[in-house]
Amino acid sequence: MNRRDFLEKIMKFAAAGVCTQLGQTASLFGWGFSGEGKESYFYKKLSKNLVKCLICPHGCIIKPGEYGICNTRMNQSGIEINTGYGNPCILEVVPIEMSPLYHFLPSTNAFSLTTGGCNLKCLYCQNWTISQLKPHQTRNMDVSSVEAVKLAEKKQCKSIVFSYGEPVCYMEYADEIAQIARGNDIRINWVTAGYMNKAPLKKISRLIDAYTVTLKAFSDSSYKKLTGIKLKPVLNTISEIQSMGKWLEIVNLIVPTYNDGLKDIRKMCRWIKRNLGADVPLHFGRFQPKYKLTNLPATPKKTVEAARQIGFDEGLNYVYISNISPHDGNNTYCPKCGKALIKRLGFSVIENNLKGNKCCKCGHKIPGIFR
Amino acid sequence: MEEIVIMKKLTMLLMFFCVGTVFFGANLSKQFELRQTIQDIQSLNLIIGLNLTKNQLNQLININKKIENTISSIESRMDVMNSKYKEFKEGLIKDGFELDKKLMSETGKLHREEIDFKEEFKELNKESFKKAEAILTDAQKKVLENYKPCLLPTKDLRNPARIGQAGHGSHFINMLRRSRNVPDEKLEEMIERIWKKSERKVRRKLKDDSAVKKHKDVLIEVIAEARNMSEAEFEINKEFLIKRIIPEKPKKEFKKHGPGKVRFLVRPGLVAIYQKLLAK
Repeated sequence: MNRRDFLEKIMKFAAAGVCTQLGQTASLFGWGFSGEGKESYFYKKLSKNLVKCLICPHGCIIKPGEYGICNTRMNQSGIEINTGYGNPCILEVVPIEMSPLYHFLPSTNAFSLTTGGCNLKCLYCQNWTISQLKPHQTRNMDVSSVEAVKLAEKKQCKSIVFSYGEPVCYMEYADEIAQIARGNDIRINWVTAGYMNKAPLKKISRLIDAYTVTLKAFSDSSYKKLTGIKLKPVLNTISEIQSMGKWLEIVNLIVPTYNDGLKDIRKMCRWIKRNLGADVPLHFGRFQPKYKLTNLPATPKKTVEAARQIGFDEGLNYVYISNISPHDGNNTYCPKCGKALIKRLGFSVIENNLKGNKCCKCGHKIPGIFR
Repeated sequence: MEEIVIMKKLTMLLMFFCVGTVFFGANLSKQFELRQTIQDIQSLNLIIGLNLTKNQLNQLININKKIENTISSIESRMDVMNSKYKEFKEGLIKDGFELDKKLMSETGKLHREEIDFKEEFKELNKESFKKAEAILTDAQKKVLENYKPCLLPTKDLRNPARIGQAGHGSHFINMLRRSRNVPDEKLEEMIERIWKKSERKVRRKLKDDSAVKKHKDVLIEVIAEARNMSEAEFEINKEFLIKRIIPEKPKKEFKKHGPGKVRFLVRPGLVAIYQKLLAK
C-alpha cells in the first residue's frame, strides 16, 4: 500500500464514521432518514456490488437494486439497506397478553410496532397484507426511534413489542428504539419466528426482556410446506434464547392437515420439556382460514384441547389455549395446588391471585417477570 | 260504577288472553315465528361464543327441559281455557254484560288458574336463570354480561372473546381516517354528509333530542381532534377516539333486576338446539 492509498482509506473511514454518527444523532432527535432506510448491521460485501445478507439463515445474495427474500433488505449500490427503518406500518397500544405473553407484566399495555416484510412465507399468515409486502408498499408513518418511545410513554405502556412481521427484518430500527426505551424504563419484547442467525440474535438480546417464539410445526416437511423454512434453525434460536436466560414463551398455531398430528405435538412438548424445562409456557392457537389456506376449516376446538392435554401429560407446567375464549386454557393455574392464579378472558385479565410471583394459596413460585 | 268494574275486569281478561296466547306459543303468527327464529340465532351466536363444555351443555339441557316440560304440561289446559274464553267472547257479543253467571264463574276460575300458572312459570324462569348463570365460569359470565346480540356474527380475530358478537368500530375508523385528508373548506360538507347517514341510527339509540344534538357535537369534536393528530398519534389513538362516537343505548336501570342476557341461554325451544350442538 502506498502513501496515497493509505491516506485515501483513512479519509474514507473517517467520512463513514462521521456520517454514521450524524445519522444516529439525527435520528435520536427525530430528524429524518425515514424512508431512506439504514445500513444493515450484518452483511458482507461481495464482488460486483453484490451483498450477502447475514441476518437470517436464508443468506440472500442480493444484486444491486434488488431485495432479499424478506422484502426489507435492499442492495443500494453495494450497500445493504434496511428499508423498513423509521417507517412502521402498524403502531398500536395492545394488552401484553396479545403477544401472547402470559407470564410477563400481566394486564399491562404494550406499544406494538412493525414495518412491512418478513423472511417467512407462511401459507396461513394472519398479517399477510403487511408481512408479504415491501415496507414502501404498505401504508406507512414516519416515526423516528425517539418519537416511537415518546408515544409509548405517553400511552403509559410498560413495554414495547416488536410484533406482527418478523422483527429481525427491521432489527436496526428495533435496536435503536430498544436502546432508547431501556433508558426510559420500558421493557422490550420480541415476537419472532426464530429464523435468524446467531450474531443478530446476540446483538439484539442485550436489550430484550422477553421473547415469544412461534414454533410452527415439529417436522421438517411440515415446516417447509407451511413456511418455506427448516425446523432446525428455529430450534437453535429457541435454545440460544433459553441459554441466555431471557424470558421465553412458545406459540404453536395448529393448522388442520399440516401440523395437527398429535404425535408431532407430543414430540414438540417432549423437546420443550427436555431442552427448555417444564416452566416454559406453551401456547396452542386455533388456526382461522386466511391468506393461502382459506380452503381449510378452522382448527376444531377438540384438537386444540387435545394438544393442551398432551402438553400437561408430557410434564409441562403452563400450557395455554390463547385464541379460543372464554376457555379454561386461557388461565394460569398453580402447578402445585391447582389454584386458578390468573383468570383471563381473551387478552384481558379478569382476576389476578398472584402474591408477587407466588401462588396465593400454597406459595409456589411462578416463573416469569411479574414486576 | 259496576259497569266500569266489569269493563276493567274484561279488559284484564282479554289482555291475559292475548298475552297468554303469545306467551305459550299457541297460534303463532308469522311475525312471532320469525322473531322466534331470530332469537334462536342470537342465542346460538352466544352459545357458540361461550365455548360451553359438554358438562355445561348437559346442565343447560336439563334446565331448559324443565321449562319446556312445564309448558307442555299446561297445553291441554290451554285448550280448555281457549274454548271457554271463546264461549265467553260469543256470550259477550250476544248478551253484552248480561252474561250467564255459570259461564262467568267458570271463566273466572280458569282465569285464576292461568294467573297461578303464570306466577309459577315466572318463579321457574327466575330459578332457571339463576341455575344457568351458576354453571358458567367467571370469564363466561363476563362474555354474557357484555354480549351484543346479532344475526350475522363477526369474527373479531383480534379479540377472541368477542367472536360471534355484533361487530363494532372499523367503519368509524375509516371515516375518521378519510376526514383527516379532507381540505378545510370541504370539511363542513363532509360532516353534514356523515351526519345525514348516521343520524337515523343515532336517533334510534339515543331518542332524546338533546342527546342527539350532543352526539353531533362530539362527532365534530372528535373529527377535529383526529385531524390535528400526527399520523402516528392517530394510529395509537384511533380506538379511543371511536369509542366516543359510537352511540350507545343508555343502560336501563330495571335490567339490573331482570333476567339480563342469560335469557339467551334459557328459553323455550332451546333444548333441541343444545342437543344438536352436543351431538356434533
